[in-house]
Amino acid sequence: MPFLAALGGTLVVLGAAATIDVALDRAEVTAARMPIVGDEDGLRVQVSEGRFAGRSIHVVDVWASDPTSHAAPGVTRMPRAGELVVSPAFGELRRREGSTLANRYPGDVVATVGPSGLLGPHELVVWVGRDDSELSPDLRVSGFGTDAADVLRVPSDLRVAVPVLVVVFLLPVVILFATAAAIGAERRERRLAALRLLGLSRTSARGVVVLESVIPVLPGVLAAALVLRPAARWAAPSLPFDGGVWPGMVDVSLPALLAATATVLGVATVVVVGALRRLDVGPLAVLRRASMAGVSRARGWPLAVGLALLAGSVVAMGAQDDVEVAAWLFIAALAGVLVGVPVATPLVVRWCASVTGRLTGSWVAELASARVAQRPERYARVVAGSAVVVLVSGLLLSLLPLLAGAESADLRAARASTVDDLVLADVQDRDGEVDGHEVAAVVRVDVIQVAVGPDVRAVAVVDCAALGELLVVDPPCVPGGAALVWDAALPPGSQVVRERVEPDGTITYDELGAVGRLPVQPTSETFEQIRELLPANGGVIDRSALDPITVADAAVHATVLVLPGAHGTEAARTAVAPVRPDSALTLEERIQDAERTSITYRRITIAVVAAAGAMAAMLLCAALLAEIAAQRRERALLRVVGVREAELARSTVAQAALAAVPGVALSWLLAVALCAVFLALDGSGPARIPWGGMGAIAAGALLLPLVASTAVLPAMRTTHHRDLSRD
Amino acid sequence: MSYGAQWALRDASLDVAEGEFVAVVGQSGSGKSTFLHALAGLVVPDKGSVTLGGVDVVAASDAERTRLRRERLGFVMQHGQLVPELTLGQNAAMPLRLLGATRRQALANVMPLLESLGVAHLASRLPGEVSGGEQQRVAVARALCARPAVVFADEPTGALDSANGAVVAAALRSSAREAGAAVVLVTHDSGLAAMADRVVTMADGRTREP
Repeated sequence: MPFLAALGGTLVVLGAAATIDVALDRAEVTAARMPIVGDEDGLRVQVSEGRFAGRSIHVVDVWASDPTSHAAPGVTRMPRAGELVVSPAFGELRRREGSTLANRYPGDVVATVGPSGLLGPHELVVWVGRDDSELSPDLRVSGFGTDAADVLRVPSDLRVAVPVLVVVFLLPVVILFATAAAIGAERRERRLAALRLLGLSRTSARGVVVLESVIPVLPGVLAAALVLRPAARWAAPSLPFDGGVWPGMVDVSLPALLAATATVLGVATVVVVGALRRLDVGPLAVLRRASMAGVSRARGWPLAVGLALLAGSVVAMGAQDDVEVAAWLFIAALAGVLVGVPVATPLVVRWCASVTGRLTGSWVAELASARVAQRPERYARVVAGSAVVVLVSGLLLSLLPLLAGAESADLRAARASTVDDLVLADVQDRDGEVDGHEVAAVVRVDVIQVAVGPDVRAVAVVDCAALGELLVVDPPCVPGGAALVWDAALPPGSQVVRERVEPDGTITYDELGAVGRLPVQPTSETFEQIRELLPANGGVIDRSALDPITVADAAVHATVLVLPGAHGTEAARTAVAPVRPDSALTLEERIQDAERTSITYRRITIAVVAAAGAMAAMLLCAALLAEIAAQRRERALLRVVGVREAELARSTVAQAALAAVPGVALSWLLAVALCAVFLALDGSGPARIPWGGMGAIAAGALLLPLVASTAVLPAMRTTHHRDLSRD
Repeated sequence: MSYGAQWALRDASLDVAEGEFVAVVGQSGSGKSTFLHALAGLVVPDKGSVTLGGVDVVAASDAERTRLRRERLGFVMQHGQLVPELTLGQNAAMPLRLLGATRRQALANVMPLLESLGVAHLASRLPGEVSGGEQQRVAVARALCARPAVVFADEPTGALDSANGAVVAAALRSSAREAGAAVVLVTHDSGLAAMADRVVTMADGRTREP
């Protein structure tokens, strides 16, 4: 067991160190390829993010007066107009996807981006050569590479996630060491008693137990180091980093290994010494003082203080309407509860077991209650981790809706409304029935204010030629296109005039073109709804007459649907790509971007719960097996007296339930209370408490000990009457 | 009966009459405890038969033997083996609880027995809080509370000093007589054996009666 604990603890620490190293290495790559604003106009660069089938594409549009005189990380020369330099993964994707991607990023592939210019082996990167007319002089750069501190750092979500995960995953390791120490002393009690009889001091005897528990740590640490490095390098390309991870980024450094060894040894020693403090290694036997002294009521103080602070937070919110004071009180309450729950769990377990023992009529439950009530610390130890996980998971779940932010809420509302329900003919089948539709592409529609006679109108502008890939446009658009939407109130042939105010105050009118109509085949009644997204007075103008820079910065996001299928989505995205550098995103993708942080935390929560659940199951089985071993003589006696196997089994399961239910229930109630207060501080209400997720976690935490105790029941059948005779 | 190549019992037999107090004596390794366990149905001999109150213990299933122990037999072991988490009263009343009595009924029924053994005032204590002799007296109460037909005692005074041992032995004999239970007592203590109605000697796995 100490070996396993050391293996697990070392993997946690080394894994965390390796994750930080990978994040910093990737940050260095990001910094190295970042363009630096320059004065001379020999190189123009525009970096944007594309999207294809859910994957991000790092797009660099570049114009260089002398492509051979400029280089970037992984790129030995700049591509000329009509040329592309691509990452291996992008090249492979482009070959596989054919014209859809090729039309979006037109050109001939002339070179491959080297590893120094890529975050990982699967990163999609494309350098697109452009004419100087396609990139503004404002985009001139002098080179690549920055040492800005805000770039060369670990991403913020990792800076939170890594320490949280280290603490959570080390908790079972701590419990495993404590269990191993307690079992170690019990199993070796005769030998230790004999040593004491021969004159070994109490301290020396404890030192023997500590050494015996800690020495197996070193093989565990070594095994972890031997396993982690090759395993991580093998798994590196598949790690959950965008674009994967280069195997070379994953390493187990000597300082990290020494730190992990010191951490695990330190944790093991501290935990073992703490676990032995209630053991009296005497010359006759090893006695457990805890069963005599009981559980101190002082254990309840941290939790009581936490609850008092929580109440104070509520009072501050209500009576004084002082959010800042209430927030600080809440943070203090949270700390108190997080510390208080594992400390108070034995007290709660003992109280519940005692009450159950008094109330129950079943002798099986009576026996289980007595066992748990007499040694609540032993039983509470293995469920304290589960209780903390329930509490922390509940809090994390309650944070998720808030992390998503207002933009996400707006986007979700947009998705839910009929405004999104726009259907266009599929590029493959314009004449066919539209069976269904889904949100697939968001076309950025620019809005400008134009003067139409004495009126000022808001006009939506979309590159018509690009949208012609999706729409039947009549009359056909000229290259550079026209706006899509029209205002039926405008008389045909009306001229659209843009009003500009010059710096000297004069007003200039530009004739932008005639208002036209854009008849489309009615594919769905919902098509008309596109007008609802735009200002009431929309107009059609010839975009080719517009200077792109003068387009107003106020934009409306019109949602365009295509038939289900990645091909349709990507075809639409390619079609609208010339409108702006960034790929048009589907509404789902925009929601995912907006909720990226909350998605990360959701994944962390799920990983924490799953891993903690697995560890808790393992620990519970280990502790139950230790109990079975320690009580073999007692069990033999009970069989002799006439207790049936099934009754002993029920008593074991009852013990697990009596240990788990109070701790988990307490944690769940506290998580709900903390959630409610936190959401009230935020201005939300109890309606946002994630009841489903919290209920699922609590149910799992309750089922776990029952399943684990059932799994170890076969070990009880080894009971033999000869255990009665052994001492 | 053998354990591997080692024969524990070769030619052992015993008849016990109702209410009889029989002592089985012999040196260490003579097979006394094994003989007792075989008689009690705790182990199944390779050959031979054991009949308790008309029940063929050898042929019975584990469930049947368990029921037999629950309903008709009592046990006192060398070290008492009380459940450490239960009070002395709960330990003594356990056989009655196994037979379906409520906690209150069981405790009420066992208290007179505990009083006669001089340990009623300790009923609310835990085993770890009393002496070995007091624990053994509680074990005697446990063995007798369900009015068994036979009490099997394996070195019940082996871990006690002579004074306590005598007290426990006397308590066992008188309580068993009151309850009408036969007693099969394994001991190497000749003084304890002298209290028996009959003494059977074991040597090399064989029984011998004078």
